[in-house]
Order: sequence, then structure tokens, then C-alpha cells
Amino acid sequence: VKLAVIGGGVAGTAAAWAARRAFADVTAIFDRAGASALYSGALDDAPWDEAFADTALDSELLAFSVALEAWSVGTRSARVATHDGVLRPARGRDSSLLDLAALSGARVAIAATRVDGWDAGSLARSLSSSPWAVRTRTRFDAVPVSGVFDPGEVSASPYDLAALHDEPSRMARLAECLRQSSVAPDAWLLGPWLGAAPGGADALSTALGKPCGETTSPPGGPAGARFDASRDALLANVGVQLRHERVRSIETRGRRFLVAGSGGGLTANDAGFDAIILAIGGVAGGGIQLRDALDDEDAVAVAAGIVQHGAFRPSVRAPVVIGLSGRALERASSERGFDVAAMGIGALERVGILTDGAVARGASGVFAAGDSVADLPRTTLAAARSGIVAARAAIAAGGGAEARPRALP
Amino acid sequence: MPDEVSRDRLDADVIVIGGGVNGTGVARDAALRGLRVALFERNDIAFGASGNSSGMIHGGPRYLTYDPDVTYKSCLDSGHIQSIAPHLLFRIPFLMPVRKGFGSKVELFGLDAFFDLYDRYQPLKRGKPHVLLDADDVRRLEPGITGELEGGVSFDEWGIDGARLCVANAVDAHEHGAEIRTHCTVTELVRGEGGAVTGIRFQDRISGETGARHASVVVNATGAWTPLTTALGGVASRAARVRPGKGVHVYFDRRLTNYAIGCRAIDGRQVFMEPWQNMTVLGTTDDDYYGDLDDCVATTDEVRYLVQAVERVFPSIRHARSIGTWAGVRPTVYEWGPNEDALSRDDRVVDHAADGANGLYSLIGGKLASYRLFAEEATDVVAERLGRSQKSTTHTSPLPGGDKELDPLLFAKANHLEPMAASRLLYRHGTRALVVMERVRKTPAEGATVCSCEPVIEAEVRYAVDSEWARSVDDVARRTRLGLGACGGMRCAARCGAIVAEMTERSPEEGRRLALEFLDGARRRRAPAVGPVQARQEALALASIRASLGTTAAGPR
Repeated sequence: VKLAVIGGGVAGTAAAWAARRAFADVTAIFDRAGASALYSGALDDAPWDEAFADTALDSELLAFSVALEAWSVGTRSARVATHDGVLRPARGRDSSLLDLAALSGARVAIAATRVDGWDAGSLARSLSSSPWAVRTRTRFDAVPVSGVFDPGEVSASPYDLAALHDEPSRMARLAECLRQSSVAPDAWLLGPWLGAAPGGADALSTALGKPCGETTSPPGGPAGARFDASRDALLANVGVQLRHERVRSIETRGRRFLVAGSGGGLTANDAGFDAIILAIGGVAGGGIQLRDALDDEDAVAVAAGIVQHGAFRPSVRAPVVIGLSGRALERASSERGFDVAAMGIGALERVGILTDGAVARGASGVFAAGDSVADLPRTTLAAARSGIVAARAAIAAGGGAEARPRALP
Repeated sequence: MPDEVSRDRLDADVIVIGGGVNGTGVARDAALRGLRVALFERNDIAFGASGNSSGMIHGGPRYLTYDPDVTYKSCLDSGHIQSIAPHLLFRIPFLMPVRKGFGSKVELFGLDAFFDLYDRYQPLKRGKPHVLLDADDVRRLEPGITGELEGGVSFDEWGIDGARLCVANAVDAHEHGAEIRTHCTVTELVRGEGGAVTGIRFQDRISGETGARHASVVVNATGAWTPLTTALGGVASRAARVRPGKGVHVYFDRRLTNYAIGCRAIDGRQVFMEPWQNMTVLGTTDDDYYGDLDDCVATTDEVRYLVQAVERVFPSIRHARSIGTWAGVRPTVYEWGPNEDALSRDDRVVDHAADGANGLYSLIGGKLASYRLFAEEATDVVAERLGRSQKSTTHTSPLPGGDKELDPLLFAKANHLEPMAASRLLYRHGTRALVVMERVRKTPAEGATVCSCEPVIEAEVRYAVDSEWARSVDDVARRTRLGLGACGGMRCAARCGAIVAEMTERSPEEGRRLALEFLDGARRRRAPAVGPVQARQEALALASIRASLGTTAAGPR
């Protein structure tokens, strides 16, 4: 089976990985980062603030989590501190996040160092007053640490601060600063500064001989960058072919699909793909766009019967239906656009490609995956699971028997 | 006239209800005359029309033909405001393009003659005289204007941040002894002998604290809330009715033009786009409004109405990035019959003695541009009743921060601030920016940037809480414009909430609740303006909230 996975977020990566495990010929096509690159580093399979489910994960999802270097998913759930001072449960975490579930009753020091947007004192107060910390008698104290950053660095973004510590000498300097501090805590909680590449927290923990880790990342923080780095390593490792380009449209040619992107035109001898997995994200990720108002170009197209015009459209021209909670959001009934204000809180997050199972509605051979497809916004593990499910479905539909297995390296 | 003995038994000489420009204006005027003042505001300073206006102290050329007195007063007082708060003003040059068509030559000629008349008032507010322009001139000044043009005129107006103006008045009143309470609603007007209003009862809407204050005079300056306020004392007054008119503005992420541009909406009404501080604003609508005054939000069709009007003259507005809306309710003088635009913008002081409520006065109507004069007239009435002869000095005493002008570049250098941050800080605070920077000198960590869009540093947030009565993230945003940029507070609301909660001795959980409250309000104000790019930003903002705060501030157990 020759399969194209469009989108380089969590869902697309899981789909490509799962399809390769089933010996499919996989090409991953993506350009820039979407919502996964903006995630916090906490891994959930249900929206944590609505319903936290400490359920067992199926073995393939666990295997994917192990394969992805940046992640750490154990048999029991983790507890992480958000950068706004909430102690929240998570099914798993970016390995650089400090897991507090293992530190119940400990004395945790929060590094108080001068950086914009970082106030260790208020974080310590907030975390100490959380019900979990009170119940388990876990203490959080702000401990002054000097010399971590140079004065010119204090206004840098979390990503840039983290990237500094990819340099071993800077990581050593950080370890030294923590060692010099006045107290000897059981663990150190730091801001999202421990490297744009995975493994920073482990290195620091080893150097200090005690658990060290980060709070969650704000949007655009290093957790997303670490996901990107470990995705690239994983896809290369399992032999997924890569096309770094922005996909414009998916065209059918007989029973096959051609993917036209920004990288150049299609050629006559382009063999195309047996199946397509769309893992392009929802509105937040940029995979789905809202059209503003009826413009002249649209009117012409509608008159010519070219596109079915809708309020939301996929950023990739493909024969799919966009919907919300199983219902199609077909078109705006106002010529001046769609009334998002009327949609209600959180609805924008759930707008996605409609599927029956993993099959995109109304399009055989096109499959969809992602958190908005799963109707579970911001649930990284649910997105990964939907990718695995889509890969299985695509291979089954493509006729597994015909597949010419290519050995995994 | 109350004698001195009984005066001592009172908490204040005058109680002012309402923290808009009229209320804070009267509080300041009275305090400067040596009167003891207590001001109560149900929401926040500049919460209503004053903080949601077009942000101009224009001379009101619109009223010139049928209400020239309003134009005269506006221009005169605009001049006074410039001398007492120079830091808060910025010039907004206007362009009125005239489209070619039947009668367009006559229209341009008429416009030229009209502004000849308006030019007579311009010197009162240091305005430049108008210029008659041909079509090429108009396009040279603003290349984005399209269509066949006959020509146009340019004229001169001034912009101001209405919320800063109200805060400056309140701060000055406070520094002259006034008690200022925000988020503190008046629950009752206390009636004494013969029905006279002798004081008020109040309740703090955040702490729940209740209390009473007694005074000789109560001034009701509650704008669109005016009839609701008089009803608290059982005063059913026909004279204190207002015609509530909702006005909506849409704002964009940047300045799109150097000139404000006047346009006609589809129904012939005059609307405009203006460069305002560091963004562009479209305004405004005017429709009767009978909804909840504490919760007035723009709707999608109001936004479309404005964008459509401007699009006709300035088509690229459609592809510009609108990032939010604001809405307020004008308290215009009550009249049955005229359509909203034709209502008078004049003001009057209503003495409720006629309703059997001696000692109660309501301020009806008014404009940002002539607020000071209206406050002076109202305070004259109060002073006369109290037998006090001091005259108003509000046109000569500078507002806090307006005593002299500081050079932004020198200020930036001396305080190690980015020049952009320095100029924004100086705009908002004038010389009081020195007080903000004093905090940084004492605690260098307060130099950290909280909101990078505006930008706002931590010391300014703390100053707003300490010295300007901010008690929520919304309050800080009103004073500093924190969180009103393209990201909608996604990056700064949580940090700001933590600071506000800490300074007002509330729990971290309460700080997160304040942040969520702001972000939810921001979502509601931004959703009507939402376009292709903005939709993505909104979804991201929600994701960010959920990732870090959860959707309930209480968080997990």
C-alpha cells in the first residue's frame, strides 16, 4: 500500500509510524508546524479539565509513546505544574516536565531567577495552596538562584531560553547555579528552559543527583520544539519518506490520489497514492480556515459549480466535509460571513473533518485523524490514537495482501 | 444652607455616584474647591460610555448646523483639556473625500464653506484650518482611498484615551481628599426629612462590605444608568430620563492610515475610520439600546455595517486584521421622535427638588470633549447650594502627570526602557511615569514585561492596583491597554491576574479566576470581529487557557 500522510503533528506522526509498522510504503508530507508544536507538554486522552480519565492505554499507543523520544508515558498518570500555577493530572508528559506524582510529600524548590513572565514566588504560593499539595504535604518554595541567565536574556521567549541550554556548557552553568543555592531540596522545578531538544531534564537531574524538570510550556514554548525534533528522528528511523512542502490540493486520478503541493507541479509519471490520511489539524492548527465573507472569486466559482462553498474550509483542497460534533457546517447563511460569536464557547476548537470511523465522510480512500476529528480538543494522546486508527483503516482499505512489505531498518 | 456644626457630622459635602467622565470630573472639581467628596462606582472607572467612546475630544462639527453651542463649548473645552493633560492628547487629522457623481461639485463646495465656518472655532483648540483638496491631493495623502473622487477636505481633531482621562480626574480628586470606591454599588439613596436625599448606602461587589455615607448633596452622574440610580431613592423623575444609544467600535491590529477618513454608511449615516494610539478604529453605530447596561457587547451585524461602510472608500479594510470591538451606551438627553443621530449632545443638570428629592442632582448627557465644562457647571450648582463661593480651577490646574512634558527618548535612556515602551508609558502617565519607574528602581524585578503587545511592564500593573483602584485584570486592561493587542491577553492575562490577586490579598486561585474572566470577556468582544486569521488566534487562545488554567479556575483536586 502506498500511503500519504499529510500533516506533521502528533496525529500525522502516529499515523505514519503505525503504517510503517504494518509495512506500508509511507510518505509524510508537511511544511510548517501546527497545534502540536504549540502544545504544553502535558499528554492527555481526554480534556483534563472536563474529565480526567486514568484509563489503560492500548499497547500500540504505548509503543508509539516509547518510540517518540520526547515523551514519557508510564503505567500510572503523571502530575505536572502549569506555568500559571495549577497542579494538574496528565496521562503522560514531555520527559522534561517534572513529574510531581513521584514527589508526593517532597520539598520542591522553584528556581527564582529573573526572567520576564516568571515569578517563582507567586508560583510557589499557588502550587502550595493546591488541594493535591495540601493533601500530600508537598512543599513548594521559591529559592533564589542567580547567574542562570545573562541580563540581556531576561526578555527572551521561553523557546529561546530553552535553546540556550542545548549547549552543554550552559547546562553545566545552570547545574552549578542550582548547586550554589542556599538550600538542598528534594527536587527542582524550573521554567520551560531545559532545551529545545529532548533529554535536557535528564542531563540536569543526573548532574545534580535529584529530579529536575520544567513546568508546562506556554504556546510556542520548547515542548513543541522537542516534539518536532523527536518526530523528525522517529520518521527517519522507521523509513518514512519525507516531502517538506505545503500541500495545496488532493486530486483523484482513477482510484489513486495525487498530492499537489508548493514543491512543484505534478508530473505525468507521478504514480500517486492508494490512500491519503489527512492529519492537518483544526482551526487552531491552521488545517481548517474560516472564510470571511463572500468574495467575488467565490461567486464565480459557485456559479461554475467548482466548489461547494462553506464557512469553514480545509487548508488543503480535498473532497471532505467540515463539521462540528458530527454535523456538517456547510455554509454561512449571511453573505457577510459566519457568526462565530453565536457558536458558543469552545466550539471553534472542535470544528474538524467529519469522519465515519476514520474514513472522511463522502470520500473513499481519504482518512482523517487529529484531536478535532476525535472531537477531543487538546488531547495529544487521543490525537495519536486517531492517527493509529486511521493508519489501520487505510491499510485495510488499500488491501493489505497487495502490499509489498519493505523491511523496517 | 447647612451650618458648620452639622457639616462636621456628615461624611462628605458631596457624594458622587458614577466613575465616568462626568462623575470623576465633578469629584475633581469639587475636591479642588475644598469640598469633601466621596465617589462610588458600581463597576470600574470609565466602565461605561466614557471608556468606550471614539476616544476623541473633537469639536463636533456634526452639531455645527443645528447645535452650534455644542460645537463652541466642545472646542473651547478641548483647548482647556490640552493645557491640563498634554500627555493624553494626540492629533488626528481628518479627511472627508467626496465621490464624483451627481451634485458632487456642489457637495464639495458646501463642505468647503461649512469648514470655513468650523475654522472659526479651531483656534480654541489649537486646531489647524481646513484645506480644500482635489482628487489627486486626497490620493496622495491616503493612497488606499479608491473610487472616482471629486476632491475632499482635511480638518483637524484631537484624540484622547477616555479611560486615562477619567482615571486622571479620579486620582486628582483623591489627592485632594476625595474618597474613591470602585466596584462599589449604591444600593439605596437615603431619604430624610421632607424627602430630602441625605446620603447613600453601598455594597462592595467584590468584598461584600456594606456601609453608608451621609452628605448634603448627592450627584447622580451614572450616564445610561441614571434612571436606575434615581429609582434607588424612589425618585420617579421624568426629567432624569435618558435616551440610551448603543455605540459600537471595531479595532484593528495596527494603524492603517495616517488620516482619519469619513465615510457614509449604507443608510447615509456618517461613520469613520481613525488612527487611534497604535491601532485603527472604525466607528460608530447609534441604536436605541434597552439591554443589560453592565454587559453591552457588539454584535456581528454591527461590525459588518461599519466594515461595509468603510470598504466603499477604503477597500483594503476588508483584508485588514480586526482584533476586537468595544461598545458603550450614550446617555443622550431624552426626546421622543428624532432618530438617534439627531438627538442633542447637549447636557443639563437636573435638580430633583422638583420631584420632592431635595439635594439630589442628575447630570444628563454630555460629551468627552466638554466634560470639564459640564463638571464645572454642575459643581457650581453644588457649591452654590452649599454656600461655597470658590470658583472652579480645573481649567488651569494640570491633571496628574500633565504638569510638564518629558522627552520619550531621554526618559527611555535614563530608565533603561525600550523607546517604544517609554513612549507608551509616558503617553498614559505623563510625569507620573517617574513614579512607575521609581518602583523599578526599588524592585528591579518589576521591570519585567507583562504584556509585550502594548507594552506594559509589571511596575505599571502594580501601580494601577496601588494608585488607580484597579481590582481585576479588566481594570488593568482599561488603564494600560494590557491584553488588548492581537493575542487577546493569551500571554499576559494569567500573569496579570496573579499580580492583582497578590496585591489585593486574594488567593492564587482567585487570580486565575480574574484571568479567566478577562479572557472570556475578551473572547466575547473579539468574536464579532472574527475573520480568517483571527479565528485561528481565538482557537489558540482557548487552547492556551485550557492547557494552563483549565476552564474552571478551581482546577483539579
